[in-house]
Amino acid sequence: MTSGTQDTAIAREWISPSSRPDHIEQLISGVDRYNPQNLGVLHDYLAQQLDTGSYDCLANLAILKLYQFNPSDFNYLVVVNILLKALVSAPLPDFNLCISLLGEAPLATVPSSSEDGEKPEAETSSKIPSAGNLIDPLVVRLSQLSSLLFQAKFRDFWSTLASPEFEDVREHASKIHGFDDAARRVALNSVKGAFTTISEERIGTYLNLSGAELAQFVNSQPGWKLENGKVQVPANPDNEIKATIIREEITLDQMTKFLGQAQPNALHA
Amino acid sequence: MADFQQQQLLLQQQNQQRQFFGGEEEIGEEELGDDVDLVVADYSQGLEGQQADFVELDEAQQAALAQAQVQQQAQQAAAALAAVPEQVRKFIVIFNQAIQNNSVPDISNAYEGNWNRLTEKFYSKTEWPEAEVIAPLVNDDQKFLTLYRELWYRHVYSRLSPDGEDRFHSYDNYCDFFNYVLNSEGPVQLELPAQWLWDIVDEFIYQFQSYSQWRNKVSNKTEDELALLQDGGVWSSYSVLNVLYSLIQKSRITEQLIAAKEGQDVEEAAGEFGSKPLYRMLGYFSIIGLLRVHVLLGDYTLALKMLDHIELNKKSGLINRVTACHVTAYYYVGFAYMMLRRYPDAIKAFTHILVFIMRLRQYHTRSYQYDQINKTADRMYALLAMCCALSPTRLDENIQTAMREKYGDQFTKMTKGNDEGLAAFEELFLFACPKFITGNSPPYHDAEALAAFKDTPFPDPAQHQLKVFLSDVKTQLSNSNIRSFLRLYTSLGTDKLASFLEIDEEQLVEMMMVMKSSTRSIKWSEGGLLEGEVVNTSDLDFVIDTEMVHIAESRVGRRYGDWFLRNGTRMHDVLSNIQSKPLPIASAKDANVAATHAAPAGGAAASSAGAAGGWATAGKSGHGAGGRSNRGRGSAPVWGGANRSSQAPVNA
Repeated sequence: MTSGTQDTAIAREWISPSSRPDHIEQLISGVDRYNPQNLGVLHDYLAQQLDTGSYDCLANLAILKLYQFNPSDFNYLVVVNILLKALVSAPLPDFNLCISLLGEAPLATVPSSSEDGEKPEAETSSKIPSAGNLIDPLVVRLSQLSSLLFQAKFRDFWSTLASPEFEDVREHASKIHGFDDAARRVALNSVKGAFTTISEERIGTYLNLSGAELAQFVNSQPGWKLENGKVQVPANPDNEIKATIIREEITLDQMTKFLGQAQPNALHA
Repeated sequence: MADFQQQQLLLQQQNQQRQFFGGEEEIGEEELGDDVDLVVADYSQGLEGQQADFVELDEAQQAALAQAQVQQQAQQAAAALAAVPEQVRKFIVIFNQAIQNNSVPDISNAYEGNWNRLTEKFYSKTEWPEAEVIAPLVNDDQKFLTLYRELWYRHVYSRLSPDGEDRFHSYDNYCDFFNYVLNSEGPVQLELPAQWLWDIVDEFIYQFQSYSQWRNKVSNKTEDELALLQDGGVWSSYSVLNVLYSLIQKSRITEQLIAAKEGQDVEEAAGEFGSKPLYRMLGYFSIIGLLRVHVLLGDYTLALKMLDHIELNKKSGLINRVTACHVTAYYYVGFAYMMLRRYPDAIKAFTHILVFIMRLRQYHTRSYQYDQINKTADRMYALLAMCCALSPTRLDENIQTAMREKYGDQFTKMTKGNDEGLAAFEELFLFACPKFITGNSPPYHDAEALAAFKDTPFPDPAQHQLKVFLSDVKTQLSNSNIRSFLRLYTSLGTDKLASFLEIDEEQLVEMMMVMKSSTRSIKWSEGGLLEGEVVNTSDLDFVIDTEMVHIAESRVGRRYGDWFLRNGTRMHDVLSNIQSKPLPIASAKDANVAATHAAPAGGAAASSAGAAGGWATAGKSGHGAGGRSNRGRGSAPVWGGANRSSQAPVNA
């Protein structure tokens, strides 16, 4: 990620993480991904992600796909874990991709309009906090956290996570290896693009760390340095800005006709 | 391998059915065949079961009156056939002949021309004659009758309103067709125009989508329909996926596409079935079909993954064979990108296809497809407007104008960060989004659960996707406001900017981080559609140095090149136009010149090029004035020849 034009590593790692074993790759690339009997394998793989801190969005989406087609296999705990993992991969769209697939999940949903065509609740239902159509309280809480991360409201993220109503979230998150650090990396990434230097105090609130812990965390990141109350952010394509004039590019393709006309007519014949 | 996978799919389908039936074991193990034949054979068994029910009802009567009834039926059939207009009967005979002869041009003619003409004339408000009625005209040929029914039901769907029975029988008919294609020993002896093959796959998915929406409305179903609906296998997601995947595997289309990409022998990769156009096209269209099905189910990553081996940008690709397929593919690709927050890719997809449609407008004549394409284009303009509001982009001029014409109001609202803007996003999304479906059926097999379902039906899947999308939009609404302030400065303090915007300084910094990440997007450059590199999508960039914002704006330099190119060619056209015209001074002298030089014009011009000096730049630059004069009209004096006579004196 140091080259001038940022490379393709982010997308590639997202599509097929280096940590993905061959049998999973094969499973989710073929027709076998529709076979609910393979849920066990995918569940094991998810458990491995939770234990080691690795992450594989597409494999987890394959689980949700199977739940979509086979509601009787739906496993609430698995879904919560998948959402938690997706949450801390912001600003990638993972969380919303998961929610998109959960539209038919056997969970509480917004009251939908009755079949007679009346829409009495349309007004109120849009005011109920929801993730898509889902109003399952825990899923909604996760969705709120996801929004906070996407909105770069990192201070709110930590204070919300610490609030009494979010105890269940904390409990689930505590079983995921490196959850907090993953959330910190989201903040760090945001800061990395937007700042060249940032005050210790501000980044402390984003990372929910202070004092020696903060210094240790920041200094352990390659290129980051905390000195005299300021954090030096490593130079990268996003925080090195320059005013440029975009010059037009003319390709040879566009000039075919023009050049063709310049040819002596003898060649035309 | 392929067989194995199909079997797996079948297995799941049946498993699923079993779950629907609450563990009933009636779908016996013996049906879990171990070869391809049974995969699709399974479909028709449902139908036989249903027919058996109907038959049972009449059994007593039938036994007694069998003989009489046969006679009566024969009479009725003959009467029904006689009632079919002469023109239609002739058409059916010719249509059948074309299909038996595998003559693609004749089939195209009948399919795209006469069928529609006769529909307008005789069946604009009623069904075509039942297949059974016209069967004697085609010697009961089942291949033809299956194809005929395909058209018959499609007509019902597009012009009339299908009832439950139509929906089920149309499904059975599709299964018959796919059965026929997939379960044959060798490739079937059938060739159909690519357009029809696309229409089959397209209609199959359309009816699946339509069924899903019809099925989810539990009330106002008749007894018969309720009985049919208990069989969860008909139009189930698994069965539709099964068909599409089977076609892909049978045609070895993936292998073919890979071979083509790597420059290997496509024929060899295609194998016995895949080398036939019928299989190759069905396989290819099934890939596009899967793209669509996955988007309808809200699975955007899998949708795009389906196209891993299709090179969308290739001009010679199969995708260009059928316009409707081309348009459909780009619509769903663009939509999936939008839901993945990859706005630059979505914009690129929409622009590409909208430019194509704009050019098409000049040539296209087949109206029934054209209407459909126009409707899709309108929806794509709406999606394009949304994407451009989220990620401001310089568009092709014509597209920009058309978009403004259609959705200018909404666009202006969407670029303002308030509730009105959000409402505009909602309006356009609901107008332009695909018809989302649910993968599952209401619990028709369980009366109690069904009653409960009536009170709490599935919430609208489109609303679900809308809310997901709007949650993305809400976050990004503030961007345009900040952007307009940043444009005014090269640097300013965060506190100052915050006070301009009348918000808390910390809040501002958060908004700026949002803006930064919204202007960085993954954009496709090569490989699968999900791949791509991170690019900066904005002309306005900034960075915060503790408390100071530094701003840099990229400006687009003046564009000379395009202007120069356009006018260069225009100049050339004007010049050659003039050269081919008679000289304005038409005098006796010219007539003389023409007479003397008409024949050896080439030679004369060659010498004139040398002699004419400064004026005859055309000749000097090797423009071949002689050649041009030959192209001139008849004996009229033309530039090349006249050069010497009329201009040389001036030079001299």
